[in-house]
Amino acid sequence: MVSGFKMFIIRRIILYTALFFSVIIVTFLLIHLAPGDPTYILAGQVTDPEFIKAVRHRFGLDKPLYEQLIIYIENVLRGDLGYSYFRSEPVTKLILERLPATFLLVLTSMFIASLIGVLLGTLAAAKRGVVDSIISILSLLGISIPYFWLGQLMLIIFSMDLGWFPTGGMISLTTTYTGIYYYLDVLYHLVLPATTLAIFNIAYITRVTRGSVLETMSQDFIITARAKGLPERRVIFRHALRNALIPVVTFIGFNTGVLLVGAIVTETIFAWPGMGSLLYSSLQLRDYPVLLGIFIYGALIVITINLIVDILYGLLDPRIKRE
Amino acid sequence: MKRGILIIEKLKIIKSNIRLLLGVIIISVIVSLGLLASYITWYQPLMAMEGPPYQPPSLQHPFGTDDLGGDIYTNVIYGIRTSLFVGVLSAVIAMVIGIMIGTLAGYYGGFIDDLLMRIVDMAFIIPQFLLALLIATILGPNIYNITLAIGVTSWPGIARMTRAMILSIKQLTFIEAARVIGLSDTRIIFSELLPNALPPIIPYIALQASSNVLVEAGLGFLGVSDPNVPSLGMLLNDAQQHILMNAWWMSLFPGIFLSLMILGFNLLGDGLIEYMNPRLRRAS
Amino acid sequence: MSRFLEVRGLKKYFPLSRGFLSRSKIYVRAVDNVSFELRQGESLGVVGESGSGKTTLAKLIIRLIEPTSGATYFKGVNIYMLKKKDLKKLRPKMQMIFQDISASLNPRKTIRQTLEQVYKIHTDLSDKEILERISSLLEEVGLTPPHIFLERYPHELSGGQRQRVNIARAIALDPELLIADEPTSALDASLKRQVVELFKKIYDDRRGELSYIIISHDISLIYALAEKTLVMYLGRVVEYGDTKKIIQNPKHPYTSALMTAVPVPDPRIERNKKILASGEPITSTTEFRGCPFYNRCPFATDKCRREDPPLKKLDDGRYVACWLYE
Repeated sequence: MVSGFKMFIIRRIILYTALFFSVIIVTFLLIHLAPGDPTYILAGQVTDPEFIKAVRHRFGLDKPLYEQLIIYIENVLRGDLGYSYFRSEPVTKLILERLPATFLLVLTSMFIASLIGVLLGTLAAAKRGVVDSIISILSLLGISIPYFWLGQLMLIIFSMDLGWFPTGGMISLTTTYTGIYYYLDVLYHLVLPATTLAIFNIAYITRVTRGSVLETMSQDFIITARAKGLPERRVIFRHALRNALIPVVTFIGFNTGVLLVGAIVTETIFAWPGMGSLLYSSLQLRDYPVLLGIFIYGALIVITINLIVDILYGLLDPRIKRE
Repeated sequence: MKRGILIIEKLKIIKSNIRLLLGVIIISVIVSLGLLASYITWYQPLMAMEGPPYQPPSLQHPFGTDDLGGDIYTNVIYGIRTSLFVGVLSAVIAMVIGIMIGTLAGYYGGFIDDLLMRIVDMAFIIPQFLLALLIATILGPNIYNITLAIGVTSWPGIARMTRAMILSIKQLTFIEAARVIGLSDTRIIFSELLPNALPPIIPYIALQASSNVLVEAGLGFLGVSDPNVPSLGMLLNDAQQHILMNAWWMSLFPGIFLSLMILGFNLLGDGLIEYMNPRLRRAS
Repeated sequence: MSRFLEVRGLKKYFPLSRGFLSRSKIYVRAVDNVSFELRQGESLGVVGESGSGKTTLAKLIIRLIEPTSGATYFKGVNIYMLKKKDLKKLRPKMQMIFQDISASLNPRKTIRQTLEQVYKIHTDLSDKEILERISSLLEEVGLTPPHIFLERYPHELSGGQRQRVNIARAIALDPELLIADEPTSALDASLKRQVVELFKKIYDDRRGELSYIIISHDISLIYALAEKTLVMYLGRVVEYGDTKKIIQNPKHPYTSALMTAVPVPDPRIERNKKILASGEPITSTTEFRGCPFYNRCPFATDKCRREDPPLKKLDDGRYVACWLYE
């Protein structure tokens, strides 16, 4: 008999694999339900007859629909998402090149946002009163203000007016740094975009943390701890936080998908060389294969992250194992 | 006399609920701006050369002019209209789809529930913004396609919520009693179930609208917007394209109104949810 | 001549775990092979602790849920064979009052709207006629004067008043079978008495036409209202027969345990104190083949663990399912 927990993981993997397949099918449907010839979607708006012929062959566009679906699924699984005519590179290569930069942005923002968000949320829930009101208002503002506008403003203020930070890119164009200076340079360029992304998420994480801590603190075991006369509130935090943070951590995990999308948009503001810039230029060029590819990769990343978070949550929550 | 007291009671409730109050005020102002657009602006939207390009705010052009010399104030006011239209309409679409699916899943249970919930899981995980982007791009960037794309990608949350509400109401005995009396399924859903399940969900239209306005602006920001219709996202895109001209007014004003709109809907939604809760408690 | 109500071999099994990927072969036997008869005008009590399947049985008889197997014949017709519209026609004849008094009424409807609905579905009466009927209904159940109750909402009424509304709704279309699931459990002693009186009055007013099935764990209620009694344990019928005889002289060990646990205002019964049962009931699944009371029965033998005793008729007309009486 397979252990309950392993069963749980297997079921989750099956579920998420099925989800991924659904994504591929949805993409396929989109390609074919779109107005116009699917060839142009798969090839992009090109006029080169040779290229079009090659695309038709590669995706089997002359064959019946269900065969096309199978071919498409096979292609995707093999990593073949088509070829970008405009950039003369296979789509997958284009995306994979850009992935690290986007990840850097996403991970940095997530890290900062989680730290500060949890701190602020806990503070708000613990102190209540004026501090709570201020933090709550700030976080409400934080989720109401469009992050890309914020990024724009920050660019204008901190980069153009004050000149504190570079206006874009990941590395300086004028001088080339090596060794540790390279990393510092990247970091320097990372500040504005990461902060932009982070603020939006800090607001969300603060709200979720605050809610979770409030709920935990009203539970009986905290009241008991206080009744026992435990000295500092800090000790209580050690009790309360451990429970309160579980839903927060899962929220952060599941929110990474949203963060990914945010990163993609933020990149266009700061010309950060990640998937976002690729997306933007492809939109302008009508380079559909790249757009489709970004969609599929984006979905794949989100699915994978969700799977990991799900499994981690299963590890943390002892109730799940019994399945 | 009694009526007067009732009204005062209701006003008192609204007063104690600041969020609702603020939300109502902000949204009312925004909607008025949108409705009165043609009366409060003196230029045409999306026109070029209403004045010299890249002008900072002045009496002539309260929000300045853009790269083509168009008046930004006019574009912002008309852009508000667009955001309201797309945001609210797409929210309604999302609500309709979500409520339908949630009700079917919740009421019939079993296989239908499993199937529908798997679909909801899938819809939930797919990055909404990317999908809407893809749909809007493929269908062609006009305002109806964009509204549709956003509406069709934002329903999963509502579906889950509706299903949860239906499940909790379904267990209540008066539903069984209705069946014993001989009410047909459709009658039960519309006459007994929904009137009890839906009211708590209504405030979420506002929250959904706020989220959808953000998505619409985001799409516009990336260039996916109807070229014949002014939109705040599009204005921010312009600002981005010409950022090196240091024309901060191109970014500031559209952004402020966008934020106000999102904030207003958020407050309205939060306020309504708070408003509904004590009432429910009184009723039980 | 077809019997009024005949339940035969009624079973309801629930699978133990759900979900897409799991295929379980283990079922919980919520109602297990229940059979009994009811004559028109007769009253039956169903006794048992929670988990005995009484409520599930009630819902099966009314066809609120579908059985796993078995039949319920109402006036000779198997109700599970009926199509939806025929079932709808039958509904006015078989009514039920539920356990949760407050949740039985739609909180957003006035009493009038709730009661109106019944007439609007099944009759063609005008609004005025319906109003007249509703008013006399309310008077019959003791909610007088009716006009103050009509426009009220459930939350404006007391528990006892709500229960009367439930009863009113159930008898509105002159049913021939009325099932009451724990009608007095949520009420205090004086209200209990009033509801019992109400039931008796309704029964007497319709003597010969209305049959009751009263479900309760309250033996005194059963004693007051039911001619015959069905004792259930974990979905099975363990004893069935004349109410007085069962209460005064219980045959099945479980029935004995029940009777001793509850004080009944009849000194003859209090005198026959028998042995209590101990322990927790098992989960009755399809895996277990013996008598469900086996683990708690002071008289249990090895045969009880291996084989499930069938329901057997005794000399005094009673039915018992126990190896003690073989």
